Amino acid sequence: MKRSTSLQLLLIDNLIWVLVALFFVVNAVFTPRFASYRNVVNILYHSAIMSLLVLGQGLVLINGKLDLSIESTLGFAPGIAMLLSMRIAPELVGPGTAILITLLIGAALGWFNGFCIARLKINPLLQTLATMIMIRGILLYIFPFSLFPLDPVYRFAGAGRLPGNIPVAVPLVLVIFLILNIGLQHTPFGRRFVSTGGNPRASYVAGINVDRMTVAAYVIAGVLAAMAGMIAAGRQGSVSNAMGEGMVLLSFAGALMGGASLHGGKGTPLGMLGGALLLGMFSNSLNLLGVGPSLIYASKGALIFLALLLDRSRSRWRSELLHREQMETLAIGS
Amino acid sequence: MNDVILSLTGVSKIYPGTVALHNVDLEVVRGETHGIIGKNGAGKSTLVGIVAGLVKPTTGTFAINGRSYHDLSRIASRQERVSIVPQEPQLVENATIAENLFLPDYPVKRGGLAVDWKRLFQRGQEVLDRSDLALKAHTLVGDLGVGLQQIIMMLKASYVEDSQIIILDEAFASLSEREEQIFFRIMRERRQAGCTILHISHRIDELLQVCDRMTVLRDGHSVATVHRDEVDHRSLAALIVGGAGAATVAPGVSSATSPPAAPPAAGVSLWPVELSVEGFSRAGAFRVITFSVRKGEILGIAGLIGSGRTEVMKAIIGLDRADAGTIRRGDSAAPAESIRSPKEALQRGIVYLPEERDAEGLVDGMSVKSNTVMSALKRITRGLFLNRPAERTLVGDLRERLEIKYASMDQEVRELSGGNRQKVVVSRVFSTEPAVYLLDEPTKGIDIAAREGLLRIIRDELARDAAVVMTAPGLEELMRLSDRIVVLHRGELVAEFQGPDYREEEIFQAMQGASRQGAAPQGATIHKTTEKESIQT
Repeated sequence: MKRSTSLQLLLIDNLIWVLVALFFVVNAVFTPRFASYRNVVNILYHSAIMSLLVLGQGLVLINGKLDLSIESTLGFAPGIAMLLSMRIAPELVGPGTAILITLLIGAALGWFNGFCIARLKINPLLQTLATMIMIRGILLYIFPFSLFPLDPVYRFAGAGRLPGNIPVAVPLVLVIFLILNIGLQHTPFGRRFVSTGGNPRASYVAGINVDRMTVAAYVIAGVLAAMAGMIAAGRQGSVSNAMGEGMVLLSFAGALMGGASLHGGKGTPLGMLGGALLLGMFSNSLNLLGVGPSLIYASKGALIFLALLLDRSRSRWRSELLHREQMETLAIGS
Repeated sequence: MNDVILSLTGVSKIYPGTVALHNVDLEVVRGETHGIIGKNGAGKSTLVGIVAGLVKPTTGTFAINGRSYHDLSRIASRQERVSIVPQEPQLVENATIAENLFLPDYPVKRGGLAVDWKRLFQRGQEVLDRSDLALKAHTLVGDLGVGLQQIIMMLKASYVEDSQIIILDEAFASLSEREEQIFFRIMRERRQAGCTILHISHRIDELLQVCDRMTVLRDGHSVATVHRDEVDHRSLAALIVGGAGAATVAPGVSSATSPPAAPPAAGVSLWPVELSVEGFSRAGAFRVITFSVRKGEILGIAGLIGSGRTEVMKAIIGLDRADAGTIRRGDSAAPAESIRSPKEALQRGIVYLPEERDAEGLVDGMSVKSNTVMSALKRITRGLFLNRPAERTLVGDLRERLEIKYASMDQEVRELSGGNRQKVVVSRVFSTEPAVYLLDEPTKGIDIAAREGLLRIIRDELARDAAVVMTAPGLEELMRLSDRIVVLHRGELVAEFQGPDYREEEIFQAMQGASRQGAAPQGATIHKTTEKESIQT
């Protein structure tokens, strides 16, 4: 393959990072204070929670399904764990146990979704919609007053700072992305996972346990949502019953921009990270430019639309490029 | 013949890579039942598809009721009162029988906007009653078996659309014997009512029984149109097969390179049996199938559509469940239901190449590389991680051995041509290094050059260290490649032929179920099953 073609392919396959870079450069020039160290750290910090949801959603999308319930899991999992550790059984549930419980609740909710979808063949949209409403309702019942101050130990992940004034959440999230990226791209599990999303029937015929892959996708998404909930609770120093509300729609935007496709089998965790960053930078720059929150929300809707257009054109560019390449190869060969 | 209702003049249909119909002329007389017969790929479905307005001919003209057409839309074809009953019933499963019968022309109330449901169900029930079926018009079509759905299609064509020309495109392939009788009765009744019926079938007996005249297609050419009285079973079979009726085809593909490790033909019997199935049954699909295949041997399974070829393979691999029987893989016997998924089959060294390449064989948006190693990830894993260099070597090696053409192994597989895509699937099953290959129509839908290459690969590469069981769209490929051929007819194994000198006509007769009537062809071993009736009850 020619070098120019390889380069173009590389750019198309990592389109999101091209966009992130472009967006950064344009804003660095036009938006005041955008490129300062403080603001960059700020963007990363504010993207941390959303990026975990984007990653979870992205993985489920790679599996060819979708998950609406992660935004409720984000509030529910830390909510129950904090309630146990601070009100119901403080002597039994220490900080370590509380964090473990949070993640286990996330995993259990994910497993419930995955089991119903893979084994009982329930439609993913409706299944996760039911879970989303169910656990949000329970959360509202348990926390009618919404506020609930947390011990300092639980604020570390969300509000702690490292040397250089770097929030703890930032390296934490980066490490998670890195681990899942390696897991998906460099292990046999990752291959089976991606191919299940691309064509479940063919993957099953090829000897892959596709049900297990689906359950895995939802469990990972649930755990990531619970983790995002821990960080969110730590950041605001409390658990509220509205945590995560409305975030799931933007998680689609981030995942789709990051290279996932609604047809499954597409995307990488690092791409999702790019998608989440673009979302974060987008609202940050509009903020700095003095745009009101309602309009920022509307602009994010436009961003989702853009992501869908991008998804369509990306695969077309790719096949056109490869087609041309193939034609040239054949012409030389004959 | 002065009352010609349908005539085709010089009709050809060219698909990319194949000529489906070549300059075909045909005349169908009003009121006759006209059979169309030929091997798979002879062009039967294309021919009637043109008349039904489903296929656009490349050249030629045809006339219905004296009106001449170059091509026809389905709507225009309906206006000429042409109906088609295809092999797979095309009905809305979530709607009632009555709704399906009248779709898209529901009876409406005065004013023309609201559907007159009362009249719809009333008239639907009247239509059903004409068939002596104890069915209610408000039953959901999805609750009926395929056979009954097929009868609903026939009723619709006969009594709702009141068609002059009814095309039956292998409409019998999935009917039970009782359903067949009902179907035949409707056909007879329509014939008396003056309808013209175009009847496509593989089964010679059936055609001789119901048709006035028959047109034989072979490789897209119209070979002959004969009257029922002019032919018998044998002569019709000879017309279908062609080439003096008893072409003996020597096995062995033309390539001069001899396979290094392939055993000499006589020595095959010394190699270990890799797979044997005994008393293998699945209700409604196949019954008491028994065969075995040795390492280095290619076993061909011949049979008409609906004979159970694919079903047997899918049950061995765990895609479908068998009801009874045992599978012996190497030295370990197991009850047939013990392989529950393709994964478990793979672990025992049995791998399946699906007939539906795109739906069941490939992950379209994934790279050639990922598709190739999908079933053999263990081979390229070191510790927890994939060994990328080993992967590239494996894929590159397979690419060379199977002569697959692509620009880059990171290319998405959907960008390859049909033949190369098929080879990617073959390389995937090959990469698992199994003991048994089940190849379901491995040469389906690929051009001649790719087919020759693939046949060579199956013989020289796949069959070298493993047992191969395969089916093919035509007998020719099976005869060239197989050491033995077993024949399935209506879910039963009816005959076995030992290569290399096959007589195509004999195999063809067996596929028609001829051996069941005691006319055992020479050289064939007839399997005796306790009950000789058809499997459907």
